[in-house]
Amino acid sequence: MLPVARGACALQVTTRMLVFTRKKDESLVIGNEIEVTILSIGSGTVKVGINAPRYISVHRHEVYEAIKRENLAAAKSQIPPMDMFKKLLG
Amino acid sequence: MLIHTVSFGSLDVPEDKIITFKEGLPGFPQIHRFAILVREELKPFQYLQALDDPPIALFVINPFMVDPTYEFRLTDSDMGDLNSNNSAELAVFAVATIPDDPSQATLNLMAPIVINDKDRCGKQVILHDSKYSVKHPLLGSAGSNEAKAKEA
Repeated sequence: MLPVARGACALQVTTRMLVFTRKKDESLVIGNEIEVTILSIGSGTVKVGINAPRYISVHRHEVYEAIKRENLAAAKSQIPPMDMFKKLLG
Repeated sequence: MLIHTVSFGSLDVPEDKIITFKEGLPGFPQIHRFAILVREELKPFQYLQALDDPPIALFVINPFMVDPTYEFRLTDSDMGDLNSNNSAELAVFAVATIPDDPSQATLNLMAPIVINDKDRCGKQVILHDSKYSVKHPLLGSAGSNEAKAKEA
């Protein structure tokens, strides 16, 4: 019996960090649909423009992480005594 | 669809109550199907119950009950994701976090859950440039006064 090549064609998702040096108004193209442009460079900040299809969501990392943490915390909530919340019903 | 919930055992969710979140939720990107559970014992909250694994449930509430001035603007991209061109047909919920001391409960007003009931799609919208916090006190000053009174 032939050995089964288990998952040989499974899509392996690995990531790596690529590093580029760019000047103002220069861009990077990611995949076929995403273009990242350096709009301005200040002292300690850069302004970045992202051209991407609407279905790609782009978030500031710290904001996304805060929402993620809050959702994970919210999922641990237990059913409380509801009396203290009834006044919210007005 | 028969689902197993942590709090209410097995429940039958009709197919037409299943809401699809294309991107999942931040923290739970693998969950795409949810339903809103309305139960007397949960009021004034409802449950946003995951129908995929893990079977989490989030307390959600009508944010306008907590802050009548709450407002935000949906982008064209959000409206596209929600398959809607009329924000009047959308339902808005905010996720509550209820810790061991429920008087310290908070509401995430920075990332409301928006649902298009007609097409049954949903999205947790992130309001990047808003003044709203992920931890808005749910019981307002009254709640914190009670907590202070307890401490004193």
